[in-house]
Amino acid sequence: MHENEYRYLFISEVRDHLVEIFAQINKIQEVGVIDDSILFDLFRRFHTIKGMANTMGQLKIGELAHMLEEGLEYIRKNPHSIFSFREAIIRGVNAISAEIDNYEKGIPFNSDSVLSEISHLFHGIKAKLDLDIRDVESVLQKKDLSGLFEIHFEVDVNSRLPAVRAFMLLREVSERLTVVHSNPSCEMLKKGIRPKDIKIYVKDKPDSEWLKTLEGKIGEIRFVSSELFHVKDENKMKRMVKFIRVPFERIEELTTSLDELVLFWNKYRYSLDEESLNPNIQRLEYGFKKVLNYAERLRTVPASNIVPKLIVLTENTARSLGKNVRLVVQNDSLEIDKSIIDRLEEPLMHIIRNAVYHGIEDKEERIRIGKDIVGEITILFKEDDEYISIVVRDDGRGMNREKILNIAMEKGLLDKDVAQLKDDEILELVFVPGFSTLKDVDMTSGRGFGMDIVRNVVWQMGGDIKISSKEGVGTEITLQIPYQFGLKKVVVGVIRGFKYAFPISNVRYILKKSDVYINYEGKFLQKGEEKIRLLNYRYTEAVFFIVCSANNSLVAIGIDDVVFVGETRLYKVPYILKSNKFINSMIVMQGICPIPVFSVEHLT
Amino acid sequence: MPKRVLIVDDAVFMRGLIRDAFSSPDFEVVGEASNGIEGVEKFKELKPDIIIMDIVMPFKSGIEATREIRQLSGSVIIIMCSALGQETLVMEAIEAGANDFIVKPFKKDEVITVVSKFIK
Repeated sequence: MHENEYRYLFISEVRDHLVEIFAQINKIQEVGVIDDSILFDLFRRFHTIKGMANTMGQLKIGELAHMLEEGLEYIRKNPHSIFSFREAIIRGVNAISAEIDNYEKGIPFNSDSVLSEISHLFHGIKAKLDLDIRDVESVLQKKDLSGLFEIHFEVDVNSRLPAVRAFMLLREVSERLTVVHSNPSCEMLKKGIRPKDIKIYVKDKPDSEWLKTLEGKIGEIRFVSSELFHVKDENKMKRMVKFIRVPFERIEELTTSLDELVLFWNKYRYSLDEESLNPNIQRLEYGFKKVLNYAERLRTVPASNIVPKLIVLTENTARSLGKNVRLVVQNDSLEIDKSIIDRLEEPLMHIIRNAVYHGIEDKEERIRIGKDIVGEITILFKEDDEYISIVVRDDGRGMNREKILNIAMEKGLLDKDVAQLKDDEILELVFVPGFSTLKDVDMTSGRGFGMDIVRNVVWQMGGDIKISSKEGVGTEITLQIPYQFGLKKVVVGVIRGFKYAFPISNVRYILKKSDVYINYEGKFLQKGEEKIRLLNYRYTEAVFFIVCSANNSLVAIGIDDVVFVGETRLYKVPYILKSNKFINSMIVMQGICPIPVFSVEHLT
Repeated sequence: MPKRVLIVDDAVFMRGLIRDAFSSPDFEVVGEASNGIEGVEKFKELKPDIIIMDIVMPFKSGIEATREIRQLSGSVIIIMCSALGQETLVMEAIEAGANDFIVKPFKKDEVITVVSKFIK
């Protein structure tokens, strides 16, 4: 391999490890009690980074990793120390991250001060630690749990000395069975952790009946299960998967070619009548869909990829302001198209920075008003049929309508009569260009990234941004991004010779004119008892009516004909071409001009 | 026949409380001791079925006493009497041979519940 390739591999692998490391550190924050397997995972990753860095001659990066590794060993032996060390570890990891960036750009090592600080911090620990390599190795060996049986017990939450119950259980089990490992271990129990669960790994298949009798014998414990150990943890799963590195461009090329193929296929498929659909064509279609499915999965990455940066950002911003803020991440295993995640990174960073800066109160204030001293920002990833949503919620002071109005007036952003503004319209003023306060500019070091740009990015992706806020309670910002690369089933109808598409998920039914009573004056059509609002009531020549549902109501649109029903790819209408909010996306079929897709939510 | 109980605790108050807990025809408190050394002596002398043993006591701790008594008898039921926050000591006591523990402050029936686990 060429030296440059090693370099590239080294950089990208360290970065992969850093992503996982941040994810694990984040778990520590969430769980409160440290899972042995998290520490082990971190330990292993620092160990790997150290090895790679030293091989590449990056001795100082290696030294950083080495110190972190030793720090972890100490934490493993003294689980409670994790909280005092967490920050030091994060700083160390940040430094590694920054130095890898430097190394990539050819800038020499720049984190000597961090190195000496951490070194100083860990110095005292080192003496106590007296790290024994054999000990570490035995830990490594111990953790290979494959082929073992996992016995799972719960400890009664009301138990006053849960650690002792777990300890008694461990003793009881080890008298009868060969215990290879347990979580928590005896040592951890003696350090005073309060276990909720205890998992014991034994060599031979245990007798469940006997395990059940331990409930009575020991008391305050409950037998949950006993089964052959299999890896459930996602991270462990990943470790077993083999990866191959492919430049993203190649995947793009593949999906673009598939896009073209899909257009062609749809056209061909549509040209066939039902009789000519022989089994071979059906098989072909089935296989085709499968390939598309796989191709889509090639493009996605877990949302957790973006999380580390956000955590670091939260903590750094909070620290610089003397605040205590925790970032809680929910459902970050959601797979999201890489291009979506990439484009949302900056906007999310800005939103979070804002939340820490403006939303979360000072420590003193939080105490005074009876809030937890640690402010909380939650980031939640979710998806439904149409959208990926990312919700950022803080438990801070919320937005003051009056203040927003004042700022907007001062900056001359208001041309409307203030009294006419509705509550949510006032909140939306923060998205107006020029609204951002001076402080924001300072904070983002003049990058000029404001909420207006956040909204633009989201709009450019065909999405939407919503804001809600309650004074004293907090603010919630929701980014809604439509799947850009998802296949969608649509119905294409013709109105006055023009084609329009409707997402099939919104289409309730298609009615013939003869089956309904139409009241053009009253702008509705009636089917049985049901009255449905007719949108294009002026178009009296319509032959069919597409009835769509959204937001719990129905609307009908009169059309001349239905020309296509099937799966196709949606493309976003570029922002500059957007003339109204009813149309966010379009479909492209070969040989015809793009067909706009109605955003039915906006029609109702 | 009632089970014979020995109470080992340096606090008179605690001994009284434990004695009260055993005021049932199924049990008979046959003796009391106020430290570990005395506890071991009383055990040899009285051969009780059950010992309620404090952990922290002068001259000889409950853990030491438990270790010695366990060597003399495999069948005597030893219940440690612990305070909150003494997890590590209780674990040591269990390693030394104690059967179970109760946590101060306790209700009378808790003592009987724990002891009953070991009486067939």
